[in-house]
Amino acid sequence: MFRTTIGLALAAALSIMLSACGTTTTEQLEQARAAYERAENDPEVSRSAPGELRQSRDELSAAEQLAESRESETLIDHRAYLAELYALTAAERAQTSRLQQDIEEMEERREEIERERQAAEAEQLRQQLEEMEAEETERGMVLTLGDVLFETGQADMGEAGLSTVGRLADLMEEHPNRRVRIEGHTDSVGDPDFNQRLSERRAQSVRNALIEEGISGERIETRGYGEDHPVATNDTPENRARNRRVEIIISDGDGNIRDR
Amino acid sequence: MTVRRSTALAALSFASALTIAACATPVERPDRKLAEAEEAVRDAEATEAREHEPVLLNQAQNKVLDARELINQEEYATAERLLEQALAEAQLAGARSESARMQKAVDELNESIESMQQEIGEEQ
Repeated sequence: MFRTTIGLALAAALSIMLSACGTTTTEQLEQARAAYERAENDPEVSRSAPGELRQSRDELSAAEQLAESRESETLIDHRAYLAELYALTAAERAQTSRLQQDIEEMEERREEIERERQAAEAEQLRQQLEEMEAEETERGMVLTLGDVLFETGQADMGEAGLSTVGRLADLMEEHPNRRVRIEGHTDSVGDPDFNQRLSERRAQSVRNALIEEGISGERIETRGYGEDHPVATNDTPENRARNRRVEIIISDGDGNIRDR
Repeated sequence: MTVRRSTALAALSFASALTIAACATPVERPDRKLAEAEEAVRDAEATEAREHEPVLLNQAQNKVLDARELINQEEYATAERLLEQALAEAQLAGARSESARMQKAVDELNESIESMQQEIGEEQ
């Protein structure tokens, strides 16, 4: 009899304890379990957010323990909510890391396309200049305007010269990254000072013609070298004619031209 | 009968002492957690979370404000919970904002690659 009463009293006390502290599982706890499971099953998460994943697991097991010992729903849900937030943060960091990898791949791809594009442009320009009888040299493609394209002893160009310059202007419009350097040369006959000025004026005259065709002056340099850089000895009329020339050097794709 | 009743009462008071011990632990003033939560909010703002995750960031900020008030009222346990939540919410807002920014970069790259490919296609 005595024992039964104590037993009853204890049972009553226990049931008070239980009702004071709440239920075993909550919606929030289930959400936290699901979020943690998703994060844990993503291999990228353990690579890029191991800290957050561990925090989530710790909070989740704390929540589970609170639920087992039938603590208040407020406390269980608090821990479970933290577990869910950390799991979501971990998943988000994993996603960021995946996107980062995508970006690296895409940047490589873009550079590859850019290289292909540049190579195609260079090849196209080479063919176009070849049709104009430009030559490939160490300094790049060089287009030579012969003496016959200029008035004798003058800087002005005739019809044929202007037509060649017109074709060059079309190419420059089509290849906007390219620049040109125009170099004037003479033979060794006559006054060197006069030759120097003539070479400069001829180079300038080609530049003016390009500008008149709509090419920006920024893309055109000129130099006059007088008789300093012959391509042949000056001892025959044919050789002297070859030395009287204007050379147009086409830049590389970045607009650079090597100095003479 | 008297004896029995007092035994039952003793058992009851023992049980209620257990209950109190299980549910309530003494809590210190959560100053450190307040500082941590405030820093997490600042970090999130630095990742432009204000733009990408305004709701979650606001929620975290409000919890910090409420926690300050609760600390003044010496309601440390509740304040501490709010601060722990504010910290985790601010971190999530920051992480989401980071990945949104990354996604934007991916989209822009995609667009630029597509237009480059189109350009090449037109030239050939």
